[in-house]
Amino acid sequence: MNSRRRSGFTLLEAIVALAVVSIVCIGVLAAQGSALRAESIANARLPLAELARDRIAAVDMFDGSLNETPDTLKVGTFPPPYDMVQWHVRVEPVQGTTSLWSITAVTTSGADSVSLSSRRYRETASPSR
Amino acid sequence: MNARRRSGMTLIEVMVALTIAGIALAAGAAVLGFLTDQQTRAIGNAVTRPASIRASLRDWIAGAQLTTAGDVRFAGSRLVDAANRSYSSLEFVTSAPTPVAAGGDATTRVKLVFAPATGNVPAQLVAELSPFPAGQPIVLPIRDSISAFDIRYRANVSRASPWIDSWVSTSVLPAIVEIHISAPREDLLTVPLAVLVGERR
Repeated sequence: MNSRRRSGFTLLEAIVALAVVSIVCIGVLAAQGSALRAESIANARLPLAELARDRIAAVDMFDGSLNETPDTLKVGTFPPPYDMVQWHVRVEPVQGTTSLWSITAVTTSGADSVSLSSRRYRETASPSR
Repeated sequence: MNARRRSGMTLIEVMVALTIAGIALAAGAAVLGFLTDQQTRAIGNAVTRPASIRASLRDWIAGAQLTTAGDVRFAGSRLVDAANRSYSSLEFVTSAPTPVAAGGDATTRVKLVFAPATGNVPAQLVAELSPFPAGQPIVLPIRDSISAFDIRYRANVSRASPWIDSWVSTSVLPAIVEIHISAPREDLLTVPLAVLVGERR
């Protein structure tokens, strides 16, 4: 800052300073980008979660024994506009019990997938409520 | 870079240059942020609204109840519009949480009202929610521009039990309620929604 002796920065020093600043900028932008990606993934999975709930509800409404659920409750696709979403449902007794069932519905659309699990008590003798 | 004569830039020059560059970057980032914000909000609304409304409808119907107090009834009927097309309406009291009552003992009267198309106004579906037995109602738009609204009922979960077009009762709840919303533009709400009334544990 002394006007008699304007030594100043060299180009090299300025380049280094700019490099540091741009690395910080890149970090901020990368963080923002990944936040946006996370949001879009969340948005894509929300309907999948609701559709998985739908499939568990379908098992709830099945009046037969959960030992032998029909194929129509095990795997399929949804009506449009969700015809690109595949689902499959696994129903199995919770280990060591006879009347407690674990129901897992998985909905898949491309790379996005949602798995929803629930447990139900159903006496094997009288399946309907 | 000449070792003999290191004139270079002064600190002030570098600071001014960096400040200008910083302001330009900040402005660019702000504009970019604003644009992406607008876009994600639009996409987010289009996705989250149908999903949350569908989940609410399911919860409200699953929590439908009949009590001896007042004029509680489960009333799902068929009506006919001016063009002689039939459509459904449904009114019930639920113990599920709603925007007007916390749920449990604080119950809500839910009325699903389909307003058929009149003139240029396309048909729309709204939910009238009022705290039960008394309180200020609110109107919640469910879906606009729909072409049909049909609800059918089953007396029990047995597959032999037939679908019924209307269900009006003060003493018996249907076991299953199935809602069909048809619309030119399809989304999560146009996927048929079948709900088991009451909890099955």
